[in-house]
Amino acid sequence: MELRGITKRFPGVVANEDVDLLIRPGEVHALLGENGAGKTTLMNVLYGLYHPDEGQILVSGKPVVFQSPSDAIAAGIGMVHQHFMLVPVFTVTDNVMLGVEPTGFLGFLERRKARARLVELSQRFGLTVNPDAEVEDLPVGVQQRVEILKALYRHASLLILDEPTAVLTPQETEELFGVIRSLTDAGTSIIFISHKLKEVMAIADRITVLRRGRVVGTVAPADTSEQQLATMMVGREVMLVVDKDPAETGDVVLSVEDLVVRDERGHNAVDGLSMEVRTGEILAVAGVQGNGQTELVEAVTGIRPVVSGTIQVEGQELANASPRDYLDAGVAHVPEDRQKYGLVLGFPIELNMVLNTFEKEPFSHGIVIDYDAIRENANALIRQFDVRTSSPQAPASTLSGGNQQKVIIAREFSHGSKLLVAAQPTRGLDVGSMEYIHAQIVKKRDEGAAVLLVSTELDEIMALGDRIAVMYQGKIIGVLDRSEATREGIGLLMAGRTREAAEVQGV
Amino acid sequence: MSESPEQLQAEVAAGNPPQTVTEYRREQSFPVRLLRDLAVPVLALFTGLLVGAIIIGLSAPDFWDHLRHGEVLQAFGTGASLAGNAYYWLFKSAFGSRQAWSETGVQTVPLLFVGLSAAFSFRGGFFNIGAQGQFLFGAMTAVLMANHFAGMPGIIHIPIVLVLGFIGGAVWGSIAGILKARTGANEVITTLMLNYVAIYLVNWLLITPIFQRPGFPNPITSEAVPSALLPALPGYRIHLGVLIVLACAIIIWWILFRTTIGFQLQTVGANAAAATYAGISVAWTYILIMVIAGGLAGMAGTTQLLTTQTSVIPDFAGSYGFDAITVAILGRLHPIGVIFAAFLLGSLRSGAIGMQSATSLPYYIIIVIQAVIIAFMTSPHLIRQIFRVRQAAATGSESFSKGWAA
Repeated sequence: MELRGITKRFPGVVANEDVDLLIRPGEVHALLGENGAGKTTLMNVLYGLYHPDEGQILVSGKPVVFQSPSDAIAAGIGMVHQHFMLVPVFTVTDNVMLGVEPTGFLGFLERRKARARLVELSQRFGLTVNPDAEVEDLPVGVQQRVEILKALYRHASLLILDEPTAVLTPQETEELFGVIRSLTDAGTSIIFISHKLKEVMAIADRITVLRRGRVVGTVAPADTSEQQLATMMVGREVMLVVDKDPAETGDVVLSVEDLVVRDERGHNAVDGLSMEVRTGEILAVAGVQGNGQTELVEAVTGIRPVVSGTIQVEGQELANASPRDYLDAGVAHVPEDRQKYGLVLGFPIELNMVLNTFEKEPFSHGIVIDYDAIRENANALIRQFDVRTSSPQAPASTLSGGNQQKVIIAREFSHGSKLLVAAQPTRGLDVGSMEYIHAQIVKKRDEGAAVLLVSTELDEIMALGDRIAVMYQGKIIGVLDRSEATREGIGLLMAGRTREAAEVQGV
Repeated sequence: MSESPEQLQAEVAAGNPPQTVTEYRREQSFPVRLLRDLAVPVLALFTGLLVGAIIIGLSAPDFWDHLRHGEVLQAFGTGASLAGNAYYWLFKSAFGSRQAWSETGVQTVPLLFVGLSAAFSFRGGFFNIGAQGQFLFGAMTAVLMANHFAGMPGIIHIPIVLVLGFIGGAVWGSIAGILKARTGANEVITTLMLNYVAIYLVNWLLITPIFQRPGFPNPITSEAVPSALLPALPGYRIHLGVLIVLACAIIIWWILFRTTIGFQLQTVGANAAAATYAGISVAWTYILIMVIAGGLAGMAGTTQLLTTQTSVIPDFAGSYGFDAITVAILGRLHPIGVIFAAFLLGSLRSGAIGMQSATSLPYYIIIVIQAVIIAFMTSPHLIRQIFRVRQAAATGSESFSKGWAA
């Protein structure tokens, strides 16, 4: 499989320019680049969703033209999208055979035949999955396997995985890597799209870096380093390690005791949790997704009701207070789901920058809003936080993920200086934005704020945390000083294995 | 094809500043934006009139006679001439004289009130389709109060009745607001069902001694006393309500776009989760929306009572409850747009009355036109496809590029 001189233009933008890409049989070829570098466009060209303006696609040395994805599938190309294309209420077997159902006498479905092939495939490649389970009941990692099986069922010899680890836990990622290795052993080629350096270094045979629609270079992991890849991606030197001085901690700002919070299904997602965060420190809460972190953050910002326990901010009792009360108490909140909670996507950037301060001076006088003050504020923040946009009136939906997050950071850093609650602040962001946001959080700490950071990325926890708390099944099962914490120890705590963790940490 | 790390470093050092690939659309100038915003409503109106013309043409008796005799050209000729004639009278009766303008204004006032009511609640994400009930309760309160305070001078009497009419609609409207705020009840269901409650409650109230006109066996109230009636221009039916409703439109515009209340309301409408996050009380916002929207619908009922229909009868609200939605959508939920939309529908109505008497075509043809307009307004993709209007990706609005034939 080869791409030669692919150029794809959209009105006003060249998404891909003269891109060459050679995929060898049985290799894992990583496509690395920041958001907007043209990775997905290139793959959509390869998958027949877009037609290239210039250049050609060659399969086994012969030029081909893909009119639609069905041509690409016929040529042995399979794609696993970032957002899965599965019917939730169908079984695994039904999902896999959908569109290529085997039929027998009088056109009756031969579900058993499909099921048998599915079982055979899943055994051959170590893709364990129950063929009769309904997809909606499966964890995300298993749903991804169903997507891979769907492609294999259609005889894919080249599999495109678009940001496959974005939705996975570290354990699921390891399992996926195992699957990828068994696929390549059988001769299947993989295109692995990612912007995560560690993963690419771990799994790829060769790495092609895209920047602004062009190929910057193709390298093998053995001949390169994370630092060099980051430089290739961003186009300048990038700080991968967060530069920070030791914490100068002061008084307790946030104090939580015996907190119990329920999730939507009525389970105690936070179950008797206690913790403290002091001025000038970052308390990083680690944990596998779904151990109550979301509910904890929503409780200490007033969004979710508290069943029992206390939450105090500088001694003021705030359990079950409204989000407005938390704002007034000086709590800033960078929410986990930035598009659901953090922004109103249809609103202009300038209004998003005053989303929770619009009722205060100088943005309004009485009930009358002062749009000039709002505009001035937006212009200042856009400059200060380097938000890349054509205008403060552009809707937030036009911004890239990194710039959307910068809008939220800019807003939250311009009020509430006592406590910053940041949940997954860099999820889905590229290296450049991540570096910037980490530096801002450290700066906030150095200005004397208490920071509660919740993240499922171990790298982020290790880079930012002054103290590291590990959350497991709604409780904090261990708090470690950064100086004594090891990746291994925290990993064990995240899995709830306190005893082994104690041995590793020697505490 | 691979570059060496040294070359890369050199490229970086040579100053290749990082920039984003995507460049966002520049802000468009005012006329361009106006054209873009008007494209769909204007094309929907055009399509509505076109479909109306076809129906009128097909309804011409001669059309089928000619067709039966194979005279295709004559058939289309009669159809077109009947449609042309109908639209001529429609236009003439809406704008052809001072009286016509006056009638158009009279028709516009209640449509504008209910249109503002619907637009205001839709902006807040509250799909209130209960204007009919709120309209009725506004009128019921107004008729009661007009006669309760009989004998007062008009200058005091009228404002009191208007305010109490507003409150009547607001109280009825806030029921749905409170239900949604407290229990999360779907407002489409509650407001729709409350319409039925309102209609039959009013039917019953109309035969109770409090409301029923003394000595009458049928459900009808007494007439509102003359001192409460809105003054009209001498010799015309056009009345003070025109100024009141225009003032209301400006106030609503001001609330929506210049105050914290409007900001709050639009945030709730655009993303209720983000509103909660930002410390806005979504529950209170819903109640507030329904107080104001209900009040406006109540004002519609009140001005009708104090002008053209001086007593309440069971069918008092007519089709205003659903016209509210039509006007709001046609006006793109913007108070200024709603003024034009209400004026458009108002002129269709006053025109249709003249058209009916001049051509004996039924009045209801304009309801068909109105329905087609709304069908197209709410399926912008369809209208874009027919007329090849491009959608501006960044804003979600439309830009007009090519005509019908392209």
